[in-house]
Amino acid sequence: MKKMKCLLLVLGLGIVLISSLAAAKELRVGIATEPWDLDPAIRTDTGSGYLIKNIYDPLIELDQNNEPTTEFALCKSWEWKNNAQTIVLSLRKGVRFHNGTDFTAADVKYNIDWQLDPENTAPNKGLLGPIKSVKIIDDYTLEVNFTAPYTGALQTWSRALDGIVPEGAHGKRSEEKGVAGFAGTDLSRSPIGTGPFKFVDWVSGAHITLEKFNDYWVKGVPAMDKVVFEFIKDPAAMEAALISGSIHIVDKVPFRDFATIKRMPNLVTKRIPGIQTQLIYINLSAPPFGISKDQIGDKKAIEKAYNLRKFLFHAIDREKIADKIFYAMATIQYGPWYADSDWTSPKLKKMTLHDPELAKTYLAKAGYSKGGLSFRMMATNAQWFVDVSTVIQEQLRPYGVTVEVIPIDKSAFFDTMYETVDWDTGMEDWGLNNFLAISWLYSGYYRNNHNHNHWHHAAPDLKKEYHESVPGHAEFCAMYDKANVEPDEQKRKEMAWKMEEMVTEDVIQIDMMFLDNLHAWRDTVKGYGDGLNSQGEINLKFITEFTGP
Amino acid sequence: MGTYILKRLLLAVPTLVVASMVIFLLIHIAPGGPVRVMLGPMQDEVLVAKLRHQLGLDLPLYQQYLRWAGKALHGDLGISVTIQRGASVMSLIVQRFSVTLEVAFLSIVVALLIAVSTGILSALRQNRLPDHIARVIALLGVSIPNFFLGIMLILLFGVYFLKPWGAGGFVPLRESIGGNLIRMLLPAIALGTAYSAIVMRMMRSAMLDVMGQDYVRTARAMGIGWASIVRKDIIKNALIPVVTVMGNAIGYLLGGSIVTETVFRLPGVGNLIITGVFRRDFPVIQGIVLTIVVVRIVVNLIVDLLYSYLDPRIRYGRGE
Repeated sequence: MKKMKCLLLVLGLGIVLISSLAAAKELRVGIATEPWDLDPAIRTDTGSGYLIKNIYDPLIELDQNNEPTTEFALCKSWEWKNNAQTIVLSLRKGVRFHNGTDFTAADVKYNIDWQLDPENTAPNKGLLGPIKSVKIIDDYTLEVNFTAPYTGALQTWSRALDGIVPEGAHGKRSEEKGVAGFAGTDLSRSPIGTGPFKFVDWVSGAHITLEKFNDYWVKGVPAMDKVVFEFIKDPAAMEAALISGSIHIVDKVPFRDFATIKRMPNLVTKRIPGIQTQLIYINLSAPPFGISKDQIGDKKAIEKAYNLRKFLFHAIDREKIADKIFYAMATIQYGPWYADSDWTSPKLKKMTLHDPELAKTYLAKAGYSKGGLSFRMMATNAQWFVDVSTVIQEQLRPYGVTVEVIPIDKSAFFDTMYETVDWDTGMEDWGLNNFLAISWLYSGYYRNNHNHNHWHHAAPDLKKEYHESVPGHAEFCAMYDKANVEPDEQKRKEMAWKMEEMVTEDVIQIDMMFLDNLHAWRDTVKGYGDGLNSQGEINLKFITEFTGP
Repeated sequence: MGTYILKRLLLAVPTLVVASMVIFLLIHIAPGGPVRVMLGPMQDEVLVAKLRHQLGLDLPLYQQYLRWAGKALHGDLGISVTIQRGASVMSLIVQRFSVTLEVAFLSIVVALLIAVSTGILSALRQNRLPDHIARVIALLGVSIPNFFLGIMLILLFGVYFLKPWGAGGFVPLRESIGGNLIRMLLPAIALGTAYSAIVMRMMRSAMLDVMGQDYVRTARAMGIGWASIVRKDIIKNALIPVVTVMGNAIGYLLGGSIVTETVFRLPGVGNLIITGVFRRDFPVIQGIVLTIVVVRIVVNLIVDLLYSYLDPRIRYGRGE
């Protein structure tokens, strides 16, 4: 009798296990980090972006060439007027939100107005442009007026308005809400969009589950009923899960493993030039690469700091770093922007980057002909930053230069960099959130009181914690202000070139390379590769068929 | 017994106070805070100050501690600021703790199943083939780090045999009992094996020790059957040191196994701590470490009480 009971128990357990395995047929996506906030207007991290892409629809989308498109976008067409100071948007009809309400122009106006409201401290407000007014013409037509020509609107809106939410959905404002509040908004953990998938649940530390939105406005999309985004921190665990079929798509493949994954049966890979730039921040408000408060106006000190920055610029062999750390899957930069773009200065494109002789000359000019220079390089200890820093350490050793690599975590890195001038250089990356060279010049260099390199100029609003550092910032800002409202594209481009030359030739920071995005998925997921672009997003709208593990 | 338990619980209060102070200090001494990580590219000083104020980070450290401790006394461990913005720390801990508890329970089951049986066999067949095999296995179990064993198990079962279900991941119990159990099996084996090796050695030596005792010889001389002596006298007495080891193991396992949880993608307490540390989610780190301290205190108390069950000579509460 006892044996019989045991047998029945084992059988029962077996049936439960087998039935659960048979039922497990859902698309599973592995992402390296757990999202922080699913409100598109206040999110700042990549992990949340993966989810937002599939829960919401953008007003404007970018295609594979990073040009504005209306495919899978809520804007049907647009028309520029008034010398690029007005844009009229025609919106899609028959679109529904997950809460059952219809999408109209009032929703788009709400999305723009909410971000423009300074009380909401929306992080991408700057990307909306110099908006003067937003007028609803009818339920499906909207007119946006700018204070100055703003031809980059479609590009920057593809990020600033990448998830349209229903009117009033952010909820009531309170002290704790918004990006500068620890409680997020009503959408932070209960997102409502018009996208192909509805939010189901969020198991902290494990996964977020989405299900098909049956009223999605694009027929036949999505191709699967359920999607689970699993958070998998460990790259080895992520790869094992992909190979085994436990997950079907991964957000990225480590550089060292890409060739192996590529050779594996049942897996599909794709390599796309990415938007993640690897750069060295330089502290311009303290020696050796900048000047201290006491050295303001001291030409010798300014010259010495300049020579040392030039030394650093020419001593680093970017190609070797790309080969050694990124297995040659990176594009070397000749300035802040993409080397193959028209928006990169033709003069910079011809520049020799790695030049040991020139490096020695600059080092000697700075008074270190026999070596003896020593400086610190902070590197966040996640990802490859410490590896890159140690390669740089090796590259500078023959010059008699000592680099102290300081592994540090991101929060400490930010606190040190922004709140003190007690650092020399920092190795980090930065994801570009749109494809306007001008916009990137703004993000990287413009702000007087606050930029990564402590590049400041004397101004009435300069905070007392900062001081005027190496020259050129005032001129840079003035040129940016002109370029930003210049309607003529060629003139704007030429101004961008000038600004790029300023920051590159003066070595305000060292923009080294853009890394490729390495994607992999199982061959049972059809069509996924068609939706990939250089932004490295996970766009499930393009999947045409999913046939299981 | 009641007095003893009460005394132990009262002694736990200063332990908790000191532990909470140490945790609080250590977290706040470490460089870097949550604010700039939360703000991402938007490093505006006005926002930084506003957020710091909201989180109370602009207050003197002792005031921050008192504020947190006061709320914790009322069961409010605060709100997560970077892991799941706005979620209560208590709900996160409950969610994660259930996963850790399940893994810990299954690991202990695995460890005991392997350790007790092989330990007994090994002792009863001392210096013979089964003993040698068991000792080699125990040595391997102690020597192989569990993250390595975890990856090997994933490769073996996840990639080659049981795929795709053996490659880790997590299915909540409420979603699917079978799906949950099958994904918990390998982490339980990875964690349980390490403990089974330690316990097996402990069991073997305790058995050999007890087998050499006078009362065992007496029992045999009295003609009591060997199987009965082994079952009733030897195993029960040999279990006392095993309980101590297992008690420690349970306390340790309930604190979450960071490496195993990461390798097997389990949303347990270990995973929560590591994410909390990287994202500087102060309320979560403080809450979870405090919970672990409480769990350790309770587990130690239970282990002490178990001694008196296993060895009737041990009695608490009478000037022990």
